[in-house]
Amino acid sequence: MTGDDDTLWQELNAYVDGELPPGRAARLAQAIAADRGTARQAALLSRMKAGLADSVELPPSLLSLPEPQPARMPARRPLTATLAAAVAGLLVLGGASLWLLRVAPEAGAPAGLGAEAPLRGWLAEAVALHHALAVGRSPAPDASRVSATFPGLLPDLSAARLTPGPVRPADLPELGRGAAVQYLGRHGCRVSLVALEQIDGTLPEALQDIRQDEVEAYRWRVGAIGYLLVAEGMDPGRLRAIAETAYEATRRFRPPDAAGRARLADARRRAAPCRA
Amino acid sequence: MAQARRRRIEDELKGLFGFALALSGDRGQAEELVQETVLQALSARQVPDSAGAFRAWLFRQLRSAAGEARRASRHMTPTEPEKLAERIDGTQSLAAAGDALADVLTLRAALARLKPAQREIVALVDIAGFRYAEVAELLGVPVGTVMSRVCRARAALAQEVAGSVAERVAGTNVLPLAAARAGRGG
Repeated sequence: MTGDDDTLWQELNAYVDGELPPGRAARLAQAIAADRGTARQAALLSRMKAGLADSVELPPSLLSLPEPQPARMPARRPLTATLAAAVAGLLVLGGASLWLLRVAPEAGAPAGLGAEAPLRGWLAEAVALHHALAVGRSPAPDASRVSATFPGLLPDLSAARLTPGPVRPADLPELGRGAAVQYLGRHGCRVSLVALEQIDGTLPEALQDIRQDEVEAYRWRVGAIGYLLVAEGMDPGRLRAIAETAYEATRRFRPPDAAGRARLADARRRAAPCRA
Repeated sequence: MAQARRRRIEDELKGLFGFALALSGDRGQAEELVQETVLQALSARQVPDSAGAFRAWLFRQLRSAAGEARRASRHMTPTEPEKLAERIDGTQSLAAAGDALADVLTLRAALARLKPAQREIVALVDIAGFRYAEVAELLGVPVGTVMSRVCRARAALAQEVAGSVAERVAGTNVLPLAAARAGRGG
């Protein structure tokens, strides 16, 4: 056993817990992608973590809250389905293909921002990134391959029928550097999730929404990692459900539970088609 | 206000029960600990305002209650690990068989065989979903200590499940490293 082994084991544990800073997480992601043994260790840790989160089953006695003053309180109400939930599997990003993506508004990006009310600041940067991810603009693989990833895990949005594309580095001058991934729906819906290193804590801890014309974005921060969720032309109710799910997943570092997945699915069914 | 507090408590019930199980090793005791904690939280005149502080407060209350219960039952014979695993698994349904459930059952049994301090750290991080810094504050130890405990506990857990989960997940060379660490680091 070597000191290097100990360091790697410690870093892998911190990685699956989302506790590594983006730079170290990126280096470790590269190591995971390059070495099968390391990848297996990471997969085992991720599976154990997900399994443990799924291992607790509440007894019937705890399916409704006890009442401190039963005579004066309303009848017991059942807990939300959260309490009976099994958690979904997590998406481990160690093997993802990771390509450099510099973010800058460019000619040829999809229209929709509205010439009368141009977006500014971080929102403009986030939308530019959203568009760049949509058109798959990335350098040739042999020119600029880099390793970058979210800190550990991506929110599982499969219940919203959204599938993540490859994770790519992101550089937003207003907010910082990190990684981005775009989730794709079956009928053209696109949602981008960006994770940024937030040394100065610019983004708020609470989930905040901003909407302009067809563009809607949510922002929040968990510790030193800031998050942006961006979509264009998506039903507001559906996007809110997605944002709240992603917020909880990143804040609690666990995948959506059964109630969260049901909410995502319900919001998708009720939503108007995306106007992408 | 009261409804908001109830909702916050409801959100934490699963984590609280997992933590109580890890501390007590017994489903019956864990139920009592959670009920006691919930009653305390519902009836408390003042609780922390922020969601994070309230959550940490809840788990501190439960930990304190578990400590008192442990002190009150010192005369009892320690539970054998195998018995502990049976009691933790006791009420689980086997209807939904398959790999996923097998993993869960294996993990439950393996968790029950860990040392109490290792069960506690695993429950806080993996079941309750606390960040390392939150666990450090809750337990009153440095963050580095939390990291070390997490690493050792997971290595021990990996050793316990080596015969089943590891084979399905990783094939060959996953466990020897972790198992060796578990043996060395405790």
